[in-house]
Amino acid sequence: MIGTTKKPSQGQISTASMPDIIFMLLIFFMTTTVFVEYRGLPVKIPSTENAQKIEGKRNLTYCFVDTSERVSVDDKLLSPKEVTSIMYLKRTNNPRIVVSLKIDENCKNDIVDKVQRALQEADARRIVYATKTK
Amino acid sequence: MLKKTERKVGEFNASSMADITFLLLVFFLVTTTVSTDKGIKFVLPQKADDTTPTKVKGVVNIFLNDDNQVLLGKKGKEEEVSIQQIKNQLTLLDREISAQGDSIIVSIKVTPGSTYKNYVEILDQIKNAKIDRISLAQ
Repeated sequence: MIGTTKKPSQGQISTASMPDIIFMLLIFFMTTTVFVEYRGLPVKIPSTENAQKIEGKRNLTYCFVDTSERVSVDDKLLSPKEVTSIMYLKRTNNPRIVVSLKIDENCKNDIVDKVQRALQEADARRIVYATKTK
Repeated sequence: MLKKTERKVGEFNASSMADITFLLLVFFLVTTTVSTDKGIKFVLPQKADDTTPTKVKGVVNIFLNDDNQVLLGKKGKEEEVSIQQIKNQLTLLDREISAQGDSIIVSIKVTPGSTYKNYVEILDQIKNAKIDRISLAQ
């Protein structure tokens, strides 16, 4: 009972599962990463105090409008009528679609109204006015 | 005479595998920039061909013109304000309207020549005043 002397334990952590953990992490990042597919137009988006974070990147579609009133969706320059047809297609593919409007702050509201009407026509009514935080 | 030759079994040291993967992981973790999308959420009204004017109480109009001047107030009582004043004016009107038992609806009307930046700033001010019922007059 008393005669058994304990060997001093050698502090060692088994690193055998290390590669598995690292692999798992790598696979996690690989599957969750969404690559930017489109480059869009150079725009200067306005800054606001109430810029909310938008969740669900996979449902987001970007629509760029620059100061020379060019409208771009998926790197194609479109007229507002074409925006309707492309957004209608996108909405039928994914009913949870949210359109992020990246509009230059110096744009006139005329073109903004045209784009909004095109989206209404396509019934893609959930939008986000892309802004920066002040 | 004939000597049996022993085949060597191919082996390689895999102990550095973990280090290599770790290095890769750290590299990607450091170089990846997570782009966050921010903005003001909005739901556009349903497309209506024949808009019948409805009598709703508690409507506050905001007009933005080509010179980027803002008019704010109840119907027929609109007054010129600066964009920065919108929040306070709306909070006052909100209190006044809820005292009467109605809830506030903000109707925005912008002219085609006005700037988008000011329109977004107006939306920002409305959100600052904690008002969710916004209507776009077309």
